[in-house]
Amino acid sequence: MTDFFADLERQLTAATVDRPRRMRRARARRGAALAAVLLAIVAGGAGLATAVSGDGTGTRGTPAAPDVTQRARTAPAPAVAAAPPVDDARTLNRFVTAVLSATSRPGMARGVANQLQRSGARIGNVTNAADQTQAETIVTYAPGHASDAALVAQHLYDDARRRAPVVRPATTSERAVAGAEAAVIVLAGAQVLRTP
Amino acid sequence: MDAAGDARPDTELLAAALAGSGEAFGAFYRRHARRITAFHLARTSEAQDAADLTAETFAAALESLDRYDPLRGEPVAWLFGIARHRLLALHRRGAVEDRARRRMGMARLELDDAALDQVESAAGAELIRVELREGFDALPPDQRDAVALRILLDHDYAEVAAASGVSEAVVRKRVSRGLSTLRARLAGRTPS
Repeated sequence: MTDFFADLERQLTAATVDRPRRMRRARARRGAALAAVLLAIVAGGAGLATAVSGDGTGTRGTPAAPDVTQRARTAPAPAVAAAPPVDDARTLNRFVTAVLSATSRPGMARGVANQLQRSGARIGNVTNAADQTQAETIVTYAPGHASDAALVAQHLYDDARRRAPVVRPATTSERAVAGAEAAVIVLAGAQVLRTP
Repeated sequence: MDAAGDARPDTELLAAALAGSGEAFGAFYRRHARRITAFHLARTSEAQDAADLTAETFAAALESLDRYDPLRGEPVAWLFGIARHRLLALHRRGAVEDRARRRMGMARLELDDAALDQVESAAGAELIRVELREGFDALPPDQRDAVALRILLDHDYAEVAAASGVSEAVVRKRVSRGLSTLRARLAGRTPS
């Protein structure tokens, strides 16, 4: 007998792990398609302008039209190749991430901050948290920045243990320590999730 | 199957899932799968359609994880919004969509008779549970207390009477009326 609920859970669990890769590919495809359309429009516009102005190889008016069509047809290929992939570094750079040391072990917060900085994050305050007895690293966020926190958490994901840090809303005191500009706050615990 | 193994709130599970944690989305799914299936089965009357709609609902939720905004409501309300859209699409097109599943790389689950029975049983049990809970909450406070103490907590009538400051006869009447109300509510439930 098949167990629908268990089978669906297995599918969803696997799809969740695979989701970041699928979404990156989908975004890249959408970006490439958009770039192709834009290039076609630009090529078409340029061709039309050439045809109208008479600066091209054809004479003014209708003779230039087939040339425009040909450019538009051939335009997508270079655009696909030129479309840049989604750049995580640029995305991490959109907001400020503060790193608070939630453990008495020295250097943990700085290590995490350096790791995130290498990934392109804009690092804000790096200082001690009020509570320094935390084992696990936790990612918290200011209102409206849940998805940014998830992105940071993704960079701290532990491949070996297949575990992402807990993500939750930041408390008022955490935000006070991290500073008003911090959208995401990493509370670095004693266990490093991903080796820098 | 239950979500007892993970006590994190839904918002945290979704945030962790967005970071790539299959375990977190699995816990979110276990917590709500039966309610979503019951929702669909009550409106389609076909176990296979309800199963397909459930799968499509969760696949669409997974796909649009980054569009969930905690400031705009609870995850369960967001999930039911997705479920309603999938149901409307079924009514519009006459077939259950599978676009989200395809984009998430999920194959359609073909159910045999036993699995169809499982879906119907699970959804039916969920409907009864919801009806009972809502019916219980809607009871007058004295009947609710009496039913809770006598039926759920298994106190005897004398103990309930002492705790409530009324006679045993009054307690018996309250329990009886409360259970009658719940029975009537279940009997009046639209068969799906």
